[in-house]
Amino acid sequence: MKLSKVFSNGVLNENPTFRLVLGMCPTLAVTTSVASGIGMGVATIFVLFGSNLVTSLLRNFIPSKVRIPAYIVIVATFVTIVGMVMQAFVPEIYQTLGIFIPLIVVNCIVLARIEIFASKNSVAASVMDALGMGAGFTLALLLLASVREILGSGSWLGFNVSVALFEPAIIMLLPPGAFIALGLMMALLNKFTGRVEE
Amino acid sequence: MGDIVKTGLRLFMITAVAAFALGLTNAATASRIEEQAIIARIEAKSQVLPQALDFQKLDIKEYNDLHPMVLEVHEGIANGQSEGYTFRVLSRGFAQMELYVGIDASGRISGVNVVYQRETPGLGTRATATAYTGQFEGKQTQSIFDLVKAKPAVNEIQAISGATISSAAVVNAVNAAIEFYALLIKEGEHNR
Repeated sequence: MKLSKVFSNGVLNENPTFRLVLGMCPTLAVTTSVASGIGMGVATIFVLFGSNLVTSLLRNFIPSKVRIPAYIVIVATFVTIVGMVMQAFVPEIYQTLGIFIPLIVVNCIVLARIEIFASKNSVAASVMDALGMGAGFTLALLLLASVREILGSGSWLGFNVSVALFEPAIIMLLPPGAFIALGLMMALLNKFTGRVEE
Repeated sequence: MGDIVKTGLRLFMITAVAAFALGLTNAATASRIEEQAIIARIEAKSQVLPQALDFQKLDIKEYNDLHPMVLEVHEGIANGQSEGYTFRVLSRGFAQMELYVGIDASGRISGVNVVYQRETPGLGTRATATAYTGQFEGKQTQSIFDLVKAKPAVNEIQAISGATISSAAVVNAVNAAIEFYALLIKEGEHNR
C-alpha cells in the first residue's frame, strides 16, 4: 500500500471514530468544548506516533507471547511523557484536559493500531498510519466538539456564536447529547458516503 | 525453559529502557512543573487583590482546626497600608479544587481565582472560569453566599446549570474565606 494511501485510509475509509468506532470513551467525554477536543487529538497523535514508531522498530524483538504487556509499557511511557511535558510547558491545556491524559493509555485506538498495523509493517508505513489515524481522530473530535459546543454553550472555541438566536441546550454538553450528536453524525456520514448496507 | 528466560529478558529490557526514558523526562520537567505551580500561586494572589503590591504571610496555625479549608492567609500591603487579605482555600467539587479569594480593605470580595481543579472539561470547568467567579466581585461579605438556580439576589450566586456540584465547590470556598475574614476582623478589634 502506498504511504499516502495509508494516511488517507486513517482519515477517511477507516476513520477511528466514525468507521472503526474505537476510543469512544475519550471521544464522548472530551468533546464538550472545541479546545479540549483539539488538545486531546494532538496528545493522541503524539502517543500514536511514538508507540507505532517504537513498536514497528521492535517488531522482530518483542516476543509474541508477551506482546500485550510490552505494548502497554510502550504506550504508558509515551502517555506519561506527554503528561509531564504538557504540565511543564502548557499547564492551562493540561488543566482543562485533566484526567483524560492518563486515560490515553487505555484508548483502544492506540493499542489497536499497534496490534493490527505497527507490529506487521515497516517503520515508514507505521508512522504514516499513526499520523493518518491521529489526524482522523482529531478531525472527528473537532467535528463532534464543534456541534456540541455550538448547540450546548452557544460558542465555538470560546467565541460567542449564538448571536442570541437560540438558547443553548445544556443536554448537548451532557452524556446523552454526546451519544445523540455522535449517532446522528455517523448516520449522516454513512448516508453521504454510500456506506449503508442494503 | 530457555524460551521463558529469553522472553523474560526481552520484556525486562523494554521496561528498563522505558524506565530510563521516564527518568530523563522527569528530570527535565520536574523543576519546571514546580515552578509553574509557584508562579500560578503568585499571579493568583495579585489577581484577587490587585491593589496590593506586597504580600505578607500570616500565622494561622491556631485556627487550623476551626477552618480546615483555609490553607494560607496573606495580608496585602501597598505603601505601608493594609489593602486586605488573600485566602488560599482548598475545596472539593468532583475532585480537589484550590482557589484564591481576595477581600479588600472595605470588606468586599476583590476577586476569586481557581488555580487547580479537575472538574469535567467543558462543563464543571465553566464554574471555574471568570464568567462565573466574576459574580463574586464587589460583593459585601457580612454574610455568606447562597447558591441559586434562578436570577440571583444580593448575596446569591447563580449556579452553572448542569454543573451544580462544581458551582457549589467555588461558593463553599468563598464562604470559608468570608468566615475566616470575620474571625480576623474580630481578633483585630480585640487586640486594639
